[in-house]
Amino acid sequence: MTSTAASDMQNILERGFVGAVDATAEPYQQESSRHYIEYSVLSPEKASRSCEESQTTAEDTSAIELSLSAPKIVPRKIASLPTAPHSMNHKLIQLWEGRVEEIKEDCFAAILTDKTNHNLPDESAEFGFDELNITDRALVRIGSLFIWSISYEDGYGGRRTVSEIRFRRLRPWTKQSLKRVKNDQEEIARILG
Amino acid sequence: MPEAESEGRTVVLVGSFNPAIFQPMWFVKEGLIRNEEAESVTKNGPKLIVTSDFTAFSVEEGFQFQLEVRKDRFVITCRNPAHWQLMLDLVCQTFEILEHTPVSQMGINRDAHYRVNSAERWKEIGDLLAPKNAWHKLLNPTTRRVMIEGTRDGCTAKYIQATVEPSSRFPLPNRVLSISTNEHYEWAASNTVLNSVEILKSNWDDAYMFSKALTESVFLFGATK
Repeated sequence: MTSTAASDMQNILERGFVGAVDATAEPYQQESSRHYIEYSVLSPEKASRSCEESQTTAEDTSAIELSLSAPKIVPRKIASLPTAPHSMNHKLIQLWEGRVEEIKEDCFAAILTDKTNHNLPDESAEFGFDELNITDRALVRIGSLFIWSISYEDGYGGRRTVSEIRFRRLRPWTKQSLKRVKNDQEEIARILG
Repeated sequence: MPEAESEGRTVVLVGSFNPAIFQPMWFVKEGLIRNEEAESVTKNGPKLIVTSDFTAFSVEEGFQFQLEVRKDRFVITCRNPAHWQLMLDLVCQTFEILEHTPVSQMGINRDAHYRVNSAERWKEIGDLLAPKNAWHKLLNPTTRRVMIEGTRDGCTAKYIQATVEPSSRFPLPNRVLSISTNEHYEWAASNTVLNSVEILKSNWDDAYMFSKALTESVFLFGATK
């Protein structure tokens, strides 16, 4: 399997693979003079081996009793790796990319490019600021790019139609970026003579 | 052509990474995701893993994506077509910030899951992609997975692998077929990530269109109705 195929990782996610967390000692149980210390597993690879071991170790309780001076790593399943909610499915109906052309008091005007049907001409539209997520309002500037999408979302509650405006979070050009572009231009000019 | 039950895109980078960097709040601090999206990671229970060897989390509100980073791999997946451009932006912006990250391989991947209407067609697809004549020594041979490798016109990818198998997102007895593509790029010497970012940007749309056409043609192959 190719090293960049995601299917192996996806399979791991969907099996609820054991995750890794920071190595912190937690007091597991205190009984009379005995202290049980449990360490979290440090890596998925170690967890994989350790889970197989722990299933046998957990049933043999005498092996779990430890002294404080020589703690034994007793791995446990900490958490499943996060997985995308299987219940949510998205079907894209329409997608435009917009570019802000004018900012007014309570709305902004934009040119929309249809990304679902590339044969359609650009259109202009106005959007109210109250249609935006509060944190996206700070991103509205002349020339800012955004995605306007209309999708079906299928979840546990059934199907709903969702219209969403998301501003693209593009960082401004840095001096280094400009320098790289300039260098590329000079190289191309040199090649073309 | 039936609608896909589910469709996702993934970017995989193979190189040298510091997993501990890729915490949700780092992305917020760099202005790449919203604060509430980072907060959604742990909203419904612990779904965040951050160590020096491995980081993984899933954003479940707003721009929904899954991220996993190991020391040698960076994998990001998004299953909402409306947010695929956002995922591309996130990857490109991240590695324009971390511009000295060495990267030797990249995968631009897509997976799509299609429901097959009948048991007969389910068997027919398996037999068409992997004829059973050669396997007559086996009793009840069944196709479990087919992987084919090739290239596409005008693409500098080393290869494109297409894989067809029963869907793990909609496991048996559902008759849902997973058809996935992996467009694999490789560089002879260790390379900074900026080259990968440029290739990713320039191939993002074409990789999707090709994958979609390929998966649809495979799904419809030999269909008589």
